[in-house]
Amino acid sequence: MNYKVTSIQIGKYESDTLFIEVDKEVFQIPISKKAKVTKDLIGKLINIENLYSVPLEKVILSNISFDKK
Amino acid sequence: MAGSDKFGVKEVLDVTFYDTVTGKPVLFCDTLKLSTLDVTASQSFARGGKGNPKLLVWDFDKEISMSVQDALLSPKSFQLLSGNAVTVGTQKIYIRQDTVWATDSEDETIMVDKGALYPLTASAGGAITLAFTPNEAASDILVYEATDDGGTVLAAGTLSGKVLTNVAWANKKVIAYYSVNQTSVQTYLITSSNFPSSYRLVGDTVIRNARTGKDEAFQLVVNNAKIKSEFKFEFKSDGDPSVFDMNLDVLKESSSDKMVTMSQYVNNAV
Repeated sequence: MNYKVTSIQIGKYESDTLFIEVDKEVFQIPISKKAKVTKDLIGKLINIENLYSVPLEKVILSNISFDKK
Repeated sequence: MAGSDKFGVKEVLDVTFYDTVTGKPVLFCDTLKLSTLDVTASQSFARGGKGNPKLLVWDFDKEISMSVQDALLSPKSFQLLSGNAVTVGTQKIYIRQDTVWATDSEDETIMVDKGALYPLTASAGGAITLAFTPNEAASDILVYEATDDGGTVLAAGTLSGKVLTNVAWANKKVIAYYSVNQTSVQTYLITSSNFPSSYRLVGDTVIRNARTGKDEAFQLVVNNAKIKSEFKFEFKSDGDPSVFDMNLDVLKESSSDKMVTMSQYVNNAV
């Protein structure tokens, strides 16, 4: 599934947090610090196979083009 | 009232503290357990002759202290003791949640702990419901297995509202550490730089006339009472309820040598 990243928060411990939209609601997804996410990800679509198998280890950008407007 | 009357004293003071600048009352204590006035002084002796007996004595270092012990604590009394105003507003509250919470059956705006019989247990899908919407982002909420509290942190979960989910937690008893911002929190502060002030203390009680057997009014006034900075809060699981001591140094009035004025009187209609 593809989800839009709305925000990122750097975590204090082993992972950071991606804020994504799921059915117009905000979900917070932990992602390992090894993935080295940056704020550049905000507004992009990412692909997550299982929302609850977290923390994510890496970001898979969606092939679907995304209009930031 | 005859001057030779004797009196029995067996009642605590009701104490009112007044601001020395504005003259307005700031605290009224009518739940005291104890109110004590203690007067001490030092002496120096001239000694001499065979056996070095005392020949002359000088008194000095007059010290008067008061202590009041309150059965109850109020925001105002804490304010006087700490020298800091008690504030009401939003405050971060730290939560250690190891049980299930639910809304109060009588007031749905309040959360209540369901107790130890309802341990916080992840569902078959790995979901737990937090009591409050956490301040922290999902990655900063610490979750431990109940059998390893404070040990190895479990992998972080997905957060949606109050529901925290990680399939790896399925059916496990867990403990979650997070914080929540509560509103209308009464906050009591102890700071490094603020200390209690001086107040006018007025203590009212009755003393019993031994001749008539009747109580007569008695008032004690200290115009310059400095509350000491030391105080103690006890949180204990046994014995009597904790009491709150307030100790004061009695200072001389600036315009006279008076330190304490005590008045025994009858409430004449005047």
